[in-house]
Amino acid sequence: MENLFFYIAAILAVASAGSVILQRKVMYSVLSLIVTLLAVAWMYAMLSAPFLAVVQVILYAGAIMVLFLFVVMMLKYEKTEIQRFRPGLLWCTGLLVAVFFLMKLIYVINRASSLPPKVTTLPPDFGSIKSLGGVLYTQYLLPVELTGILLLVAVVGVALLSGIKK
Amino acid sequence: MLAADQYLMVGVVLFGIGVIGFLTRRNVVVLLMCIELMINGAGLAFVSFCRQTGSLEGQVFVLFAMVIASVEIAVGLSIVLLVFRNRATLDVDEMEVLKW
Repeated sequence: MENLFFYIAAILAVASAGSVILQRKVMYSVLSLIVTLLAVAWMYAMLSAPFLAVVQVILYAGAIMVLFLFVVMMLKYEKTEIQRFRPGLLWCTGLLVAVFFLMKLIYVINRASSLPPKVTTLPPDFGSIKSLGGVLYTQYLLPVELTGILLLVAVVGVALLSGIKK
Repeated sequence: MLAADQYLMVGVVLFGIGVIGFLTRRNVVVLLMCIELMINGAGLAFVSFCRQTGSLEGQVFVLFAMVIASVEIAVGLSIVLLVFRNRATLDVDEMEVLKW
């Protein structure tokens, strides 16, 4: 049963990720990426990370993709889209490098994935808000604070970038 | 229980699709989406290793990666809007002012 759920999620994720880079129109790419993110959230939930799954749905599929949708709608993209396809030397090189990189990565992961010791029994609240928050606010307190500062800087930067009056 | 290796492989494939898209597409917004794909592939690898070793550090890293990705997308998209307002293009081949 779990196998079936995994294969559905995996096929959904990979197919919609392929659709992201193959679609001609950016709007379709954005919609495909939403499906990919939801499938990844599904896999997070199956990997006993329920809090991450919820955050993935709310933050990624909710907030970030709405931002993408707004920007794509604001850009009037259809007018500026370059319709013709130019598979030049640079394009071929990029594709070759990327495919080679993917093959290498699969090879390395295949060799390395048996290295860490497998834990069969997890605590029942593994990945819940309580256990994650316990690690986050004791051991990783300084990075959390720094992330807050980063968010502040980003808010100021975006306000400055998009609010310039000429 | 399903082996975490299969999840790891899905993460690798997502990352690879992101790399392929990043190196072949020329639209800035699609490039940002490919970065998102790569971040999600890496996150899936983190969480599956986390499931395999039984430690919570990977999930914490994925949380930080999510925050940083959202910040990056917000700043990146506002830069894209600004460039589009000034140059009226989304093609990275035509944004070549900083090339020299």
